[in-house]
Amino acid sequence: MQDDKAADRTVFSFTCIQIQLATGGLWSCLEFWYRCSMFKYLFLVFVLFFSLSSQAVQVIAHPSVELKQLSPAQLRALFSMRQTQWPDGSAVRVFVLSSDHPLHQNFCKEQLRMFPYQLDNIWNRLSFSGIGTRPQLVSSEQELLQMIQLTPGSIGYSSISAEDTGVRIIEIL
Amino acid sequence: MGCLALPSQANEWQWHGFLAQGVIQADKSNFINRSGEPSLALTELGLNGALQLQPNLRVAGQVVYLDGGNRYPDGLKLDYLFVDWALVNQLDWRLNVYAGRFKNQHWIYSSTRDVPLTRPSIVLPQSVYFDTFRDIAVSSDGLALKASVDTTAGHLELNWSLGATPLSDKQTRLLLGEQVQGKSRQKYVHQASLFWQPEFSNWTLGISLLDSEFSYRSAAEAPFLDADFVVQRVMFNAQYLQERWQLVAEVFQERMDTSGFFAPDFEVQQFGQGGYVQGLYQVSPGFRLNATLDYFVANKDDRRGKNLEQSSQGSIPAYFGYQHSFSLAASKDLAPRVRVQLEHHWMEGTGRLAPGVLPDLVTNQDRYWQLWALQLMYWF
Repeated sequence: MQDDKAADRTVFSFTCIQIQLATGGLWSCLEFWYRCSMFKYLFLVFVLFFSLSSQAVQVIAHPSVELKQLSPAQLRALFSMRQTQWPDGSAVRVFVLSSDHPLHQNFCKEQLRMFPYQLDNIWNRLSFSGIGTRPQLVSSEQELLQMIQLTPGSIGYSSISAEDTGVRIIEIL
Repeated sequence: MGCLALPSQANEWQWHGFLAQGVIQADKSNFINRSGEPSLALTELGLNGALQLQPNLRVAGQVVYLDGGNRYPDGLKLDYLFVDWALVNQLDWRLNVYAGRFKNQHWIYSSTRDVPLTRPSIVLPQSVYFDTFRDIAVSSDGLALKASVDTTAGHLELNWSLGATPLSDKQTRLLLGEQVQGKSRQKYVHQASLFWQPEFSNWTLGISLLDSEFSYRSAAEAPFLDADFVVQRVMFNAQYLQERWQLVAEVFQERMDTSGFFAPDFEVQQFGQGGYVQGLYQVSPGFRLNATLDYFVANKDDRRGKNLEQSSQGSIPAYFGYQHSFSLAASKDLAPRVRVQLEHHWMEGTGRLAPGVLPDLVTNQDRYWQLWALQLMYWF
């Protein structure tokens, strides 16, 4: 299993190098386009789009959370608000963006492998039948990161590199 | 950063609620009223709160005010109030005990059937979500357990409950008949259910079992005698989810055993069957369509009600033995917490109209009838 993962990572790295080389070869053509003011803004939008869409969603937690890895099923239990305590007994605090936010939608599909409306349905059922609560809603990705930094026991997600921000990055197995 | 509010901690209340008002018309039937005129008896208000007392102990309650016309008893109700004790709270499995008045968690929409924002249509399929039984089916006073397990085989959820629901005089008349003056009581309701979502699957499959007993004690001058009723149900459910559309189905067989009531030695046992298939489609964010086929027969050996009509010497028409329907519904989010819902149902048969035992033969004189409803809702 571990060897398979290592092999997957090698293939992925090799593919990245190929893409970088191909991108480098195309650079002179793109530079010509870039110099044309007509294409300048289009090119910027194109680069921005791909840099954003290729950014993986990271699962982040407050440093007080001692876990470094979670299985997809465990992650689903946490964001479905079924799992309300960490293994050390402390309370889980879940932070999310609104259901129509692109990052929330990416996170649901890529990490939880759920559709955003499924989470909405689960949270509504919990909070209106009394057996659970909704996660804490925040309005921006920056605020989400800040809340994770501030709140012991918290968990959330980020598309910007969360390294050196004082939060724990949790690997999803 | 300093202006950010921290989330609620232990010993802090969490509040949620909903308000919904609509207009509804069911012509040629007593589903809402006897006149068949449009009615504003489509009011649903609710306020709930939860308090985390300890990391593994919380208390939660909800009060609702409902007015559904003839569908169920109207008024202010304590919907649920229970203590939730998390016995096990581990990453791979959890076990909770609920003591008090708890919601029915055994069917797909049972726990929030009267919370407008959580259901796909204003009037749910009557085969499974029989409105006359709403107060009995929605919550019970007793003890319940919920275990949820996450394994490589997927997510498993097991529910068990044992309790009873107090029955009001109005509920008794809705169940049995307008002429009834005695008291009825639910002795117990025992339920269990299992839901399974295979890992990375779009399917969720479930089974639920119900066993319940009721008693009726007649008033001295009434024409109806003491009686006992046994209701047992086996139900299967399935949900298939895609990003833009969903398929939902529940099918059941129900045994109903009646002893007494009409005569001291009266004894009837019959098996009813029913179920629905529902397709939900999201046209665009916040705009959903829903089509539902619903099927119910009170006696599986008399699907068209001919025996019912013959055994009553023609006084109860055959169409009281079943109720099938097709419905179309649309809902649109007008704002983040405001939604409007509109629907139309085409019905054949009156087998799911109150009262259940002594039917309203005066109002329900048509085999075919229709229902439409429009409701505006807000929640927080």
